[in-house]
Amino acid sequence: MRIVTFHGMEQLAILSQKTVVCPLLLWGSLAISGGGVGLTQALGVTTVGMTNSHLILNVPVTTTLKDGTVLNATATPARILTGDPNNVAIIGRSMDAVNGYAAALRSQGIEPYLFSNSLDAGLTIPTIARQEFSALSDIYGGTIPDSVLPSTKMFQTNEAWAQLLKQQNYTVIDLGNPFVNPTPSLFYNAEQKVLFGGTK
Amino acid sequence: MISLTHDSEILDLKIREIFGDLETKGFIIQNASIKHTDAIGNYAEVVVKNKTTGRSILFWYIPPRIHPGGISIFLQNDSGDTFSLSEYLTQNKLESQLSRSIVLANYDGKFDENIESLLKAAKAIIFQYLDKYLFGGEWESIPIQWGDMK
Repeated sequence: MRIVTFHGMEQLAILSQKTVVCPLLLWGSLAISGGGVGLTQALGVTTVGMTNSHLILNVPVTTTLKDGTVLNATATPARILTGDPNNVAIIGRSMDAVNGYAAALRSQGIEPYLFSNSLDAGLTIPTIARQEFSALSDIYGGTIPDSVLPSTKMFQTNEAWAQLLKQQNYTVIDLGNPFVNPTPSLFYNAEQKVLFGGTK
Repeated sequence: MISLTHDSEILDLKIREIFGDLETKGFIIQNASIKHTDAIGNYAEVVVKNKTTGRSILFWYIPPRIHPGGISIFLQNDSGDTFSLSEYLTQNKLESQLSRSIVLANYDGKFDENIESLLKAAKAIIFQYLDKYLFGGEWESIPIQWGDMK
């Protein structure tokens, strides 16, 4: 494998109620294998569109259902909240999709902010929140009922995280529901409510 | 109705019986205490901690009142990173038999017998898979197992 460094200039159009267009100078590295396949191509990622092109990707993602069924889908933004283009967060109705999309962005030199074990930007998931969530998940066989979930510290931390994104003017990529999961998620619904004013 | 305090005393006793040998490796078994969170209500906790390394095993017993009852067992490091045995098993695809062995509802004997069986199963898992985290300097952050909730 050889590494090729490129410098490119792209126009970034931020999609929002209030569209803002600003130039973004992208500096990055592209790894090219002997067969000419780049890092993003190796991940099966296709960059689409001319606007927000460094953020808008088509990323193949998979998830495994409890019964072992493997689902494949393509994660791509359903909507983007305007914000600081240097601070990007991802939400969606599947952490597998969110993690897959985050990996694709990382391969382009963008480190997105996710709601996961180790948060930064001034917020961490408290140990007690993690343990309370795990304990309830244990006793309910892996799915905490919706009647219980809002009272958990994990849910409250998730809402606080979404509020922090808004306060700190993050650009938020909402991947929607790539696996067409028919079951609503209270976590995802709360994130959408805080960040976009409602579910899509 | 048997009190949570009574149940916690049994949990405390059984942990001392089964995990007592950890005291020779610098761990201290703290007395059971009753804790509370809004979502869980009251539950019992026993902490087994090595104050030198900061590594701990936490045992939580949730009584079958507001929720189905059960036991959760966590490893925790000195910076507060933590994961449960069940999360570790799920993440490493070591589920089925091992996972069932640490679910209290899968035992149908008397309370103290069930606790004892579960703790023995948990100890076997910890010593087979997690001893490097409990005794050594290694640590692994296990992702939160969201299941279908997020």
